Amino acid sequence: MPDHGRDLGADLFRLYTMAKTNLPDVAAEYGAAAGFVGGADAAAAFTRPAQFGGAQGPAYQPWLELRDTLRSFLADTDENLDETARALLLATDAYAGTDYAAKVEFERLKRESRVP
Amino acid sequence: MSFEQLMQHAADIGNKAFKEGLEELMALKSPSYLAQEQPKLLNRCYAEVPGLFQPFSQIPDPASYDPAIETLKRALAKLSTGQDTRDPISTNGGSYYANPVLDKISGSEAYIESWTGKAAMEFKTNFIDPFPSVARNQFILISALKAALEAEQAMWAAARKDIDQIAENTLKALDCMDDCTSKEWAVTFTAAAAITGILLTIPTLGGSAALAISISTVGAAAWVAAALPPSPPELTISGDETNAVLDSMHTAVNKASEVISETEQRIAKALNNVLDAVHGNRDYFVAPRPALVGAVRQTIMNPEYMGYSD
Repeated sequence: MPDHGRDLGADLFRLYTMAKTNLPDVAAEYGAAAGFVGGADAAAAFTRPAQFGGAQGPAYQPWLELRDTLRSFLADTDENLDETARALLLATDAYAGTDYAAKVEFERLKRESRVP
Repeated sequence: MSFEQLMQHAADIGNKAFKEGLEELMALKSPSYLAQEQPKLLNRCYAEVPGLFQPFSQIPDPASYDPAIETLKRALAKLSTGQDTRDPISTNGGSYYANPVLDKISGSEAYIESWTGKAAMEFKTNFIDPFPSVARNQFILISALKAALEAEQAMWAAARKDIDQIAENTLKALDCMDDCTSKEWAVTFTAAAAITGILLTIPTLGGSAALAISISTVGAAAWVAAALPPSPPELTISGDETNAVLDSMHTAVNKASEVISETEQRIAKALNNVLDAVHGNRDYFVAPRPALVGAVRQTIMNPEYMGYSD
């Protein structure tokens, strides 16, 4: 049985909380982690005379590939969390537009909360 | 002696070898032989000797890996979930306080579980449920990335000591050629033992039937307690005449190059092993893109996306 009225309003407020704080907060941590991983620059450290396995040696390319792969995993997670949050905000707005009592309850909970 | 003065040591070896070698040639009292051999001796002492040591004077500075290692420690701190806050490979950096912000994903479960739409349910099962395991596996990968740099750092630090030891022992051997008793000076190629392997188990995703996988990688022996490094090879520097000492020095320098090459191949192989594991098991390391992100205002309430809440 689908929720409606005040129950639906409470459900929407929970989605709103998730979209405005939970997911963006974690996304920000992932964005920072991706920045740190991508910023771990060892190109100069690996540089050596060519007789030691070439200009940067045999380990640099696989290290760089692993770093870049990992950075993309973390950046993708950041982006997926942000985009999911946007979809949930879209959902709260769409559902509130279909049920006036739900919208009133949702707006009341938003006002009384500390969710931005 | 120290690595920073390596080229000065090479010059000292050249000067000493030329002096001793010239005395050996003059003792033979053959002007024609002296005329034939002196240019060879000159070339050997003042071109070959510095030429052998020159590339080693430019090998990577171990400290140059520190900035990247420190940056990766900051990434580890971001993704420490609290399942196990220790670095799984290296003791360089120790523990990272669990990042409580990450708990907000698991904390979101109750906010979305009442929604019946396909994409909403998938977000819970594909993203929220396995999140702690995926984050843990990402933490392990950062640790492997950092451990590879620590392995490189340890290898070059040991290589510096090894080449310095070769120079020092060559000078000793040249000094003692005239001694009655023959002497040998051992060189231990510690670069070979500076890194060690470690086998890591990658946690399965929470609640899934997937098999656990394991990856083997490497770290600095000083920071990894899991396995014993291989015994380092040894050579001796000796000889009772100049060319013999220089020959054994040449062999030792070549061996030092060979040990660096073999050691770095182990690091490269370990990194390729990790890459294979990551590419072959991508879902262990990153959640798939949630279907919810494809919703638009006209479709968000459809059963395909959010459905209804009950």
